[in-house]
Amino acid sequence: MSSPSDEVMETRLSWDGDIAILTINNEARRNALSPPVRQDMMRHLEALMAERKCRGIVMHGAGAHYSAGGDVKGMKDRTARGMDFMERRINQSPDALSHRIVTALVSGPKPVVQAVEGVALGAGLAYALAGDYTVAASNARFAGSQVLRGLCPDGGFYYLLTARCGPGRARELLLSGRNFTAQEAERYGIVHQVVEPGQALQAGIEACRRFAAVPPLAFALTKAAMTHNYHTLEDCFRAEQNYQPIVGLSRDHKESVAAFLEKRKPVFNGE
Amino acid sequence: MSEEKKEVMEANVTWQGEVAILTMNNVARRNAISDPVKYDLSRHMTELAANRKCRAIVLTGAGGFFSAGGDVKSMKERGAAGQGLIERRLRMGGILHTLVRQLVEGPKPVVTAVEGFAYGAGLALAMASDWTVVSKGTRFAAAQILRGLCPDGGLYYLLAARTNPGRARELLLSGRTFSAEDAVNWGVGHELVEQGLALDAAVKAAERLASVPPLAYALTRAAMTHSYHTLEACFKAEQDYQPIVGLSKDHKESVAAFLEKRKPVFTGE
Amino acid sequence: MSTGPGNDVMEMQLRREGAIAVLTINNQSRRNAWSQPVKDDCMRHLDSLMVDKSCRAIVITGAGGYFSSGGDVKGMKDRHSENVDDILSRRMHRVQAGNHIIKTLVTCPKPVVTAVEGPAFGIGLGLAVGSDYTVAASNARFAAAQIRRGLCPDGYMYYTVTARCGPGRARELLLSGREFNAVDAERWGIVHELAEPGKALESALVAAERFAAVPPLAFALTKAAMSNSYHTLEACFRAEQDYQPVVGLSRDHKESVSAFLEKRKPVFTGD
Repeated sequence: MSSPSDEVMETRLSWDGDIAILTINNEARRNALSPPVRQDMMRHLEALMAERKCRGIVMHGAGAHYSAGGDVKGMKDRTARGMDFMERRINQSPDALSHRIVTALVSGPKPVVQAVEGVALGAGLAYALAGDYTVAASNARFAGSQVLRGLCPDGGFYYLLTARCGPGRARELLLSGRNFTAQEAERYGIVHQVVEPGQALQAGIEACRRFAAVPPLAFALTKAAMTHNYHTLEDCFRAEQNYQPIVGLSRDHKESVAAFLEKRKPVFNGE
Repeated sequence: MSEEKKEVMEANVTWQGEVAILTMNNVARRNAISDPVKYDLSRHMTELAANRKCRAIVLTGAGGFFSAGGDVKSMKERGAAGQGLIERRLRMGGILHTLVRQLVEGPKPVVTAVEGFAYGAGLALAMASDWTVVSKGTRFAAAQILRGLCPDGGLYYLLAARTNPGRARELLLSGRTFSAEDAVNWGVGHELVEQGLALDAAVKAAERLASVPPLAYALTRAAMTHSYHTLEACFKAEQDYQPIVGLSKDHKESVAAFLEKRKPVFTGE
Repeated sequence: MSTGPGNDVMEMQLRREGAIAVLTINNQSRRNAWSQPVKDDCMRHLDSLMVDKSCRAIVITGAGGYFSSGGDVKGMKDRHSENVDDILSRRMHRVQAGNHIIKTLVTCPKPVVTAVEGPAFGIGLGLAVGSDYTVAASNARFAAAQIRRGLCPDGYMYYTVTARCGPGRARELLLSGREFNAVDAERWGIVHELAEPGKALESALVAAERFAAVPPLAFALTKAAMSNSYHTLEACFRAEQDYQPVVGLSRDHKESVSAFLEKRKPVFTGD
């Protein structure tokens, strides 16, 4: 799908070869995740997940920051117009849109790398963890700050943060809402790689290319299993039994075996 | 089952006191986890679980390496034989999963000694234990995905349990090689030793674990495989197991030894 | 309810530092063993603190340079004359009494911080990690020692230790019962912060103040989700959908938004 108008686009799509770059583009508000940002993002993600020529997605923020998170002005407006319990809970709420975005990023078939410069706060931090790999600039600053707004964490946060750093640390960070640095984030396992300020996007694209070189079908099924099936040994065995026979019949697997035995480089096409 | 047993045993058992050392011995194929290796290992695990004189098990590989993982030549043969979805599905639920279950949830302490490399299903076996000793220079990779396959041998669970789901995702999805130092930093291995010394260190670790009361060990091991995920599952395991071990001879012996300030002697009763 | 055997000194003392309640295990002749009088005192204090709105956080520590040496081995000896019926009735009682304390700490709406000096063995370790934040003095020592007594771990340690350091490390520690030091504990995530010997309580009070400044309702619901809902992405989404609309309507959330926009410090009341 192409953009209806360049003016109002709040999440921008560009390409680096077969890697799609999604830019949160709401710089005046430190890339706050306003409803238009989320709607654009969801629209792009739906198209990219089905796009064969897309072999990976890198997400980042325009300008100096990744995202300051939920839109505090929007919160004010929702309260001012008396948005009630039922309306807040329905599937069309901004939170529910976030759930669809996070689901696509975490369990969709394509590699997703997040590149963070500046701040990633609240739901912005949740998005920064929604993927397979997170690169942060050394001056990046993080906080699971919703609790300080009198809200609970959103954007899949309980799961996403816990999956990176374990429930003991996640409990502390989500319950205090405190700031932490890129160095702490790396030590806790919350980000995978720390780079010089200004280099996060480039490093993110490089990381994404590594994932893009993996056979696409095996990637997609392994990613689904890493979202849903690592919790118990039995879950894990079930996923293996369901997925392994499928990829065992794939062209890419045969190509990989042939290339290994012939000592040449394999060429994968997702079949 | 599918293959007749070869003349040479593909996995053999030796003893060091009460510690059984189980060695994958298929050096020509770099200890690939072929069907004969899996069946031999599983048969030994069944016997050792029932053998009262065995107090701990060390799993290692012959020839200076642990295992290169799945057997690429037999993958080729399966492709050539036109094995379909149903046969493959049946096979996947079979001997490899049985073996990993025996290693992870069986009653005795299991220690793995890893030298050289542990790739693919070999990486899974290296983590299917209570303590993993890694020697310097060892290389690891969850390499299945680069063969166009998904991870097997319990890797989704084992790697996520040793490191965390975020790191496991990255390693399983990229299939990249990582070092012994990374492995120990992330929790894939517990102990880093000089090259060639992994087996010695593993036997020492196995002796240490073998000094724990055996019944409490077996039940705690079952709980650590199945009952840590939620608070409710944990409550239930405690309620089920604690009264049993509370009546055991070993518990009484431990209390008596503590109060009499002497070393306890445990028998598994 | 009974207090200490044959004396009226409390084996767990309660004092207040403003909004923070400090509970001190004080059974020094037995190195703060987790005896029945300690449990009785502790439960009584917790029951009153849970319904006390002026209490905004709880700190637990041990007197005399010990945290707790764990289960009371002399009490175990006394129970050896019991028959199977006694054991079964004891099992019901224990679930209601001893372990109920740790369940309360892990799931209750108030922040809980533990301050560890010296040994925290067996159930003492369970108590130390049954909190939202653990500070340890650098000379603290830990062991999941139950297995060395021929028992299985109690105090929900399968869950709480695993939640701190992951199942791979937890398996090794609970199965070996070996002692480990504060530095290792911090590196593995079992404690959050190291302090100088003698300073653990001081640091714990600072941490408790930080948690006490968080809006109480958002804290309580986030803590509930962190006890139950981080395991799968779907459970996480469900918790968000259930809790976020509730806190979105709270007075504290409105106060936080107003304070943010007016650039002043918010005042939270738990409403």
